[in-house]
Amino acid sequence: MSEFLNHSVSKSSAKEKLNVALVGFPNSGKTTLYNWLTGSKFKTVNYPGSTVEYSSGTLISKFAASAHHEIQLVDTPGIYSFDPQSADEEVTLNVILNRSTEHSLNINLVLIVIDATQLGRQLFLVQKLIKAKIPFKVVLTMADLLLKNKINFNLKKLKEHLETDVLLFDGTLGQGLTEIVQAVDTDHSNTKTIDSLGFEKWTEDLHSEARQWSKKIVNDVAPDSKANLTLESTLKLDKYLLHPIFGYIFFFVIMTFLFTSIYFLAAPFMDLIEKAFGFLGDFLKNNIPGLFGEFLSEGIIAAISGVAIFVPQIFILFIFIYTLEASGYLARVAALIDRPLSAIGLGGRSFVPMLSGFACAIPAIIATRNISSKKEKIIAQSLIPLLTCSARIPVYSLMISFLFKDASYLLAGFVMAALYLSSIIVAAVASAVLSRLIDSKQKSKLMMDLPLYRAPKIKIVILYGLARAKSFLKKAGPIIFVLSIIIWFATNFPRNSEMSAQQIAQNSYAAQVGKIIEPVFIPMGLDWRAGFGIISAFAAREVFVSSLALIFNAEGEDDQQQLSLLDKMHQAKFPDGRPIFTVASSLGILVFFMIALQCLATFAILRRETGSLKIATAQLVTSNLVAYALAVSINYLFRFI
Amino acid sequence: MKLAKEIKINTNYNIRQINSEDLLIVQRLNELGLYSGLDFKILNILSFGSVYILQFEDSIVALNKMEMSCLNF
Repeated sequence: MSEFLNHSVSKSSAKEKLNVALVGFPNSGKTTLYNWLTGSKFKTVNYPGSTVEYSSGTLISKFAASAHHEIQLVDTPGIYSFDPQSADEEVTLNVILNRSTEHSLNINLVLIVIDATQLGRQLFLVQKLIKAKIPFKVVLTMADLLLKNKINFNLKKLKEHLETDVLLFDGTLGQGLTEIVQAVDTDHSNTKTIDSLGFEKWTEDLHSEARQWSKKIVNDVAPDSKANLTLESTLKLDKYLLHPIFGYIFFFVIMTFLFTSIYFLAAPFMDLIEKAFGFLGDFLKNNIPGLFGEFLSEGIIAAISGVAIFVPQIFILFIFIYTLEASGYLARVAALIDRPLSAIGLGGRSFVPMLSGFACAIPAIIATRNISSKKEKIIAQSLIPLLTCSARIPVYSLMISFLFKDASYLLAGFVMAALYLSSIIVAAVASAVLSRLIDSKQKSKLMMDLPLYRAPKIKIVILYGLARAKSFLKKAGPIIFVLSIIIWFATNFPRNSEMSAQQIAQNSYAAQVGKIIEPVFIPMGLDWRAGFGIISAFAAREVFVSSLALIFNAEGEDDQQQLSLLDKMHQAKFPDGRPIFTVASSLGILVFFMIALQCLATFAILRRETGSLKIATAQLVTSNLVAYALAVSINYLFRFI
Repeated sequence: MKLAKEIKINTNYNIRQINSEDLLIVQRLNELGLYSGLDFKILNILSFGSVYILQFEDSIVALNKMEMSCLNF
């Protein structure tokens, strides 16, 4: 038995604190409700296991001002019962039972979120809460679908059955929020304790009893339910998207479009950004005389534009992944490729974290919590850093532009897709090797809900894409700013008024340090400048491009910074006249970036999620050594091209 | 469980019993809404015969071969 209700008064606020946990089946609409109430930009997706850590937030000011309590909402991972079978479900139970080790939440009320179109099935959770004597109120989501499907709900009867407030919520329009806040914002000062019965394993008899109970309620509150039109349209779509042959064709086409579009759809916007920064750089240089103007134009602006230019690609990648998730298609892909993934020691459930890995490895590694098999989880966590995350896009784009100078956007797009495919192949090989090394008798589990298809709201999709692009800039911005100052200073000093630009560069502090580390990069076919770029990428991969731009002084007379950098790369030579960026060394750079684990934040998350510094360190060392060895080998193999 | 070749797509079946040595699987199948006596339809068999797409009431679920073998129908 554990203490459940524990009111506390905030020292900074006169209002009493009230902690409310949103609990429900996966995909029941908890995160949508949470987003509306807290104004959070957290994503809401349409597949089981999208929330793997809880998030907490306070009410937006519109509701907070009139509330009698200081209400804190906690969005928990979806749960089928209070007997968890995976790490994400464990998180929810810990929140409800106040067992969370990271924060003391002291939950006062559970807001059970139920998909109104799945009432019969999801009432199970309510019965478990009743048995555990946990104070709760009910929110019925998908109210818009009830209307669309002409389902008449007798809310009054449902309230009588459940003996608590039942509220309707339309997630697409945000209707019903005021009533929900009013229902939550009441007195919860009676101290009660949890009855562990609700959290024990249910026998077949208890399940049967719960089924009869929920069936009776459904028959009573919605006796004249018509055919579910949303289900009918989902079944029609699934005839094609889950077809044993066409399903794979659609999957292949959708994925190819996703990865090639990152390049060709973004191109016009990238050109625009490039021109804007070029104009700004010229303007500053022409209007601010002396070293400071030079620093602003060639240092700060050049470095920022080197990253900002890739924002359209990041935006497109995230909105596509979000659309696939929110529509309900991703869960189907997990089912489609369960068998192919099992050949490399994974299961269908690993697909969603892996696809997220193409955006960013950090949330993807956390998302592996919804994989119940320990073996699969370790394999997925190990191979996610190998997948092409968004931070690699700037590097790939630069090297593609360098290798295929006059290529069309379409060809460049296909090369980009080939790089993605290569990273998948590398990850598959690593996975197959790990699968043979890790011994486990635990069987792979798939059983999952396939949500009904829903059209994502365009506004939300765009807002999400913008939020992720902003986060990309925010994450890389400060590092780039500091590094740009250091690199600009290191490449422009010591100097005197009689020295030419070339003399300054060759005698700079960066050149002096670079020459010491150069022997490490010579086998890769690179000089100290490119080596400096690779080392700076350990702060953040995308910094590689801006470091090169600074170190090669990529600005000159050309207002297009990337074109200027490409020119400088083509002209760059060793002292003996050999070119530095050859096909061989450029391919080596691509392979190095494809395999190396450079992101230190990913290393930290790996350590946390695997619970082992040894595993995380082994991966860090192995992947970087393998990446280096392959880059060197490629440089030697292709050096005569 | 019936053999894959005996199963007809889009045909209604009734679950006679759910059996498995792994009780967690039985529990999760129950929680997903599958129970003895339930009528369901197999919409498709995917992933080279290893994944079954089931529809019952207003729900659609995917089960792998091992999970499907727990359903006696």
